[in-house]
Formats: sequence, structure tokens, C-alpha cells
Amino acid sequence: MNLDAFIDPWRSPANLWLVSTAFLVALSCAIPGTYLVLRRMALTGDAITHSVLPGIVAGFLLGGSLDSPWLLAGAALAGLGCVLSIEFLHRRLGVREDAATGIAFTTFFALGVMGLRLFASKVDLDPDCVLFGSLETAVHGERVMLGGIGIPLAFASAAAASLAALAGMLLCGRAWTTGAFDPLHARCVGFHDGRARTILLGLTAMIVTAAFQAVGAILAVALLVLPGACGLLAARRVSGVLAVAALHALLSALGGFYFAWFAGINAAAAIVLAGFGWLCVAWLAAVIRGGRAQ
Amino acid sequence: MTDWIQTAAGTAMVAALLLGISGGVTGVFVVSRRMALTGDMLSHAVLPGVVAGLLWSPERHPLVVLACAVAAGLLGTGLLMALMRTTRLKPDAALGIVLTVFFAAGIAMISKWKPGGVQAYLFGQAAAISMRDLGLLATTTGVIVLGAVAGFRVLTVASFDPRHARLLGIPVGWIDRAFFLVLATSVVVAMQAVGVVLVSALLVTPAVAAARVSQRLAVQAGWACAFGVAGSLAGVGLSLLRTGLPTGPLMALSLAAVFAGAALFGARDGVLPRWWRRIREKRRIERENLLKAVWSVVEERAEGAVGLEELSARMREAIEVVRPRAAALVKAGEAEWTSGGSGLLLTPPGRRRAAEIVRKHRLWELYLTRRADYAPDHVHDDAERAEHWISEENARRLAEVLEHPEIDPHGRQIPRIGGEEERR
Repeated sequence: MNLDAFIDPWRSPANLWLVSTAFLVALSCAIPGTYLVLRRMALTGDAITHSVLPGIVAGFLLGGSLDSPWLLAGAALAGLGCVLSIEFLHRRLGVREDAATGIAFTTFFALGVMGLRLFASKVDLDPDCVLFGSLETAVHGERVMLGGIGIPLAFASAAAASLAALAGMLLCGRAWTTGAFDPLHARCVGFHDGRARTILLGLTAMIVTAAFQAVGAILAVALLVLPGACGLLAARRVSGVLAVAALHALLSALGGFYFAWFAGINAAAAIVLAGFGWLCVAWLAAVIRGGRAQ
Repeated sequence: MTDWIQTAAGTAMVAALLLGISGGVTGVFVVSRRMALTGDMLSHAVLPGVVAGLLWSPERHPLVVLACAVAAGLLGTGLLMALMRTTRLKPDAALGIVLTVFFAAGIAMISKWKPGGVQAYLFGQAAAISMRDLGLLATTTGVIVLGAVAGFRVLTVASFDPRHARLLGIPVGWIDRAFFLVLATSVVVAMQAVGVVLVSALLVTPAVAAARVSQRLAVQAGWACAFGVAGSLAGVGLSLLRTGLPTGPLMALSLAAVFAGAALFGARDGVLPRWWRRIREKRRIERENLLKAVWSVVEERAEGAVGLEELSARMREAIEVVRPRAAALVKAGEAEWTSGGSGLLLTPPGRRRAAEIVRKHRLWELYLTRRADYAPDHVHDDAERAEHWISEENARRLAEVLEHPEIDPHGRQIPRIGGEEERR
């Protein structure tokens, strides 16, 4: 195949922005997502991703635009609200955890969609976006000037989300890891596991909100789960899992970009499919390695 | 009637009715099999199949779409099984992977080929349900209900205790597969009305609400149908009232409201029943205290009848408070009015009941002083509470442990129960 076909897309700066934004979105989701997978809370991540919607709508009504801080606050509150309702249903009413999750996230999501329709004239959020997002529109949308260069707003918010995720990892990473493997030990050595968990879930809600416009509610779950799962298949130590997850985010963004470019499909979906491809590579390697070890 | 069904409102109403029934019946088993999130996974995993079906049959033949969707659901479940068997990923991560990857494949196909009618499956459009869809829906609902009724016992055993079911010779594997097919079908059918995400609401919420009402699975199934129908009809009704409001979210919210109602008022642990139980408990304690007061007056003075005024003075309650309680005792046959309603006389059952309470009170006082080293003047308040909660069995044990005592720490007789011995 002609090599030029692979280099050509890079000649357009718009595509550079697209790939780098995709990578940052994937990276910001990969970090909390890895801890969620380690803590067996992948489906809590799913619930949060769906339930931030009413918070986003409320934040939009308060703040009046897609880039207002109210959005993040509303989303974090809604996400935590959903987690709290799941725990209330589970602990107080004795509803099984899976059923409680099913009730809570559908209710929150329904509230969000209702809000979206009721205030359709005021909330400038495409309903399609809610499910699968549009990376292309996000990157081609509004720009902010920074040092003389027009940076797409989506890129800036993804970068901020990645920085927040990194900061969270540096500050709470040890607590998250210890709590994932041995909550009792975590408490003995002085980590406040409940608080660490709340921070993780709140951070997830905010990062997912930042990723919302680019990839939508459902595909954001993929960006949360796939890198961590891939890391878990490829590495044994938590640091290794995180490194593989970050690499997976990069490779998914690149692979997804080419996939979308050549096949002419939705970029967010392509990134998820590419991410699944890399997961399959790690899966195959793990199966072969496991076969050899035996 | 047929004309009404063919109107948009009629179709939506009938669809809601059928969805409520099929969702309720399937949901009860989904919840008891802990498959709530599997249902959610399926609703996302069938999307590529739905898209393929719509591409294959542009006139949207429901059976083609259904077959393709179920095939995609099977493929997704295969991937889930493979992930869980060959890797160390936990079920939550595996479910998350299958759910999102299949959904992404569906979105990719939509963005590439843009099939018509896919919006209905993504967001749910009760208005887009055609008469053919309704026919399919009616058929699946009929099959689900008939299957559940005919195979109820087998299905229940296989759901709750697969090993026991296998011992009974029930083909558990086949039942699981059949149930899976039914689940996939009801997911695809429900998707059209409420959309990908909210299918779970239709399956899970009525079933969990029904579990607040009864512990029996058959009763739960009935209630789940009723709740499902109520919630989905309410959703459709509300969306008809104010056009422009989406049906799916309204259905999900109505179902959530139904669940909240069941959690508040359900027989199991609902707020209202708990409140009712507390009131009855309070009444019982009041009555027992009155019996005890009559008993102690009689004990002191060896008189048959006791005046209400004296009782009210002893209980430190107004006579207006004591009188209705006394009336309740009379009504229960534990006491009789004397001298035209100003005094009370215990009947034999009332005396027996009073003796039991006093006995428990004094046994407990004795137990505390003898076995727990309490001072005799510190045990009365505790015994005032304990006397209402100590069971017959515990009272018997207490007496045994204390070697059948006759005298309590304050030197009073502990009444004995049985025969005529209750009054010395």
C-alpha cells in the first residue's frame, strides 16, 4: 500500500487537532477508568456516565453555555447522586446491587433527556450527542486564543481533564490502589477509603462531562473500561497497568483516526473499535503467554 | 376498537400495555437471576444487529430486524463468555467492554450507511410503532406470558437453585438458553418504545417494585405486570397530554415513581406498613400497662374491681386517656365494666395476661439483680421495657435459669402461670 495514504491526513492541521484531542480525551478517561476496573466498579462508571446528564442540563441552565464551570459541578453532583441512590437502594432497601444500578441510572438518564427536551430552546446540546457524541464537530467548534494560536475548545477542555486526572492520580493514586486490593489495610495505614472512593467517583463524573461532547455517554464508558482492561491483561503491577492504559489511549486515538479516515465513519465509534482491536491484541498475547506458562 | 388501535394514540397505548406485561414477567426472572445488567448489556449489544436488519430490510420488517438483533445479542454474549473464561477480567469489566464495543460498532454502521428508522431504536419513539410491530409485540407478549405460566415451577427452580434443578432432571442449560432468547426478544421489542438506555427501566424497575410487595415469585410476577402496565401507560398518557415530551423518559420516570410508591407503601418494609405496625405495637403496650396496673391494685388490696380514677392516678395519666384504653380491654374480653363504667374487673383471660406480664417483669428484675449484679433499685425501669418484649419461651427459660423463684428482688410474689395458681 502507498505510504503516502497514511501520511496525507496529517497535512491538515484540523486532523492534528482531532487526533491530539482524541488522545487527551482517551487519556483523561483511562486514568480513573483503570482504578474503576481495578476496584470492580466498571459498571458504576457506566451508571455515572449516564447519570451526569441531568447535572449537565441543570448546569447549562445556570451557566448558560457549554463551557461554564456550573456544568462540571452539576455533573459531579448528579454522578455522586446516582452512586448515593444506588447505595441507598442497596443498603437501606435491600435491593440487589445490579438491580439498584439499573433503576438509578435509568431514572437519572430519563430526567436528563426530559430536561433536554423541556428546555430545548435554552440548552444547546444535540440529543444525538448524548448517546454517541461527535468528535469532529467538537474539534471544529469554538476556539480559544492562547499565545497567538487558536486552540479548539474541545482540545483545551480535554487537556484540562487530563491534567486533573493526572493530579488526582498523583494525589490519591496510592489510596485508590490500596483500597482496590485491601480496603481494611488501607484503613489501617491511614487512608480514608470512603473519601478516596468519593473523590474517584466525583473525578470520573467531571472527566466524563468533559468528554461528553466529544464521545457521548455510552462511548465514554468504553474509554473508561477498555484501557484499564487492556492494562490488566498486559501488566501485573499497577504502575504497569497504568502505563499500558495510557499507551492504549494513544494507540486507540491513532488507530481510530485512521479507521475513521479510511472507512468514513463516526470518529468516536472508530476510536472505541480500534481500542477493542488493541484489547484483542493484548488478550491474544495473554492467552498465548498463559498457554506457555502452563 | 380496531379504528382506535390504528390511531397513533391507540397504538401507543396498546404497545405500552403489552410492554408493561412482557417487561414485568421477564423482569421478575431477570432480577431473581441477577441479570439486570446483562439486560442492559443486551440492549446495547443488539444495536449492530438492528442496524443490519434495517439495512437488509429497508421497509423495516419487524421479524428481520428482530432476527438480526437477536443474532447480534448472541454474538455479544459469546464475546462476554470468552472474555470471562480466558482472562482475569471481572464480570463488570467484561460487561462494560461488550456493551460499549457492540454499541460503537452499531454507531459506526449508522454513520457509514445511515439506515432509515434507526432513531426509533436509539431514542425510542412510541409514535413510530407500526401495526406490524404491534402484531409482533402482541405475539411475543403472549408467548412470554404463556411460557411463564406453563413453565413457572421449572423456571423458578432453575432460576433460584440451578444445581437442585439439575438433580430434579430439569434441562437447566436449555431453560437458560430459552430465557436468554426471550430476554433478547423483549429487549429489542422494548427498545422501539423507550430507546437503548431505558430498556432497563422497563425490565428492572417494575420487578424490583413488585419485590417490595411480596416475597412470593408468582405474586411478584403479577404485581410486576400491574406496575409495568401502570408506569408505561402513565408515561404514554403524559406524553399525549403535552406533545413534544418524549415517551421513553416519561415511561422510565413514571416507573420510578411507581417504585417509590411501592418502597413507601409496600408490605415489605414500606414506610406506611412500618408506621401501622408501630401504632399497633404502641396500643399493645398501653393495654398491657393498664392490665398490669389493675393487677397491682388487686394484688395490694385483694379486691375484685378497681376504679378508673385510681388507675389513672397510679398510671399518672388523665382519666380521659385511661378510659378508651379500658374500653379496648373490655372489647378484647380481658376486662368487664363494674358499677356502670366507673370500675374495671379483669376476666379470667385478662387476669392470665396480666399475670404473664407481671411475671416477666419480676423475673427480669430478679435476673438482673442475681445474674448481672444490678442493685435492686436500678432494675425497675429496664423491666418496664423488657416485660413487653420477653417471649413466653424466654420467660420459661428465665424461670429455669433462676430455678423457679417465687419472690422478686422487692419481696413481691412472682405470679405463676397455669391452672388456677395464677392468683396464689
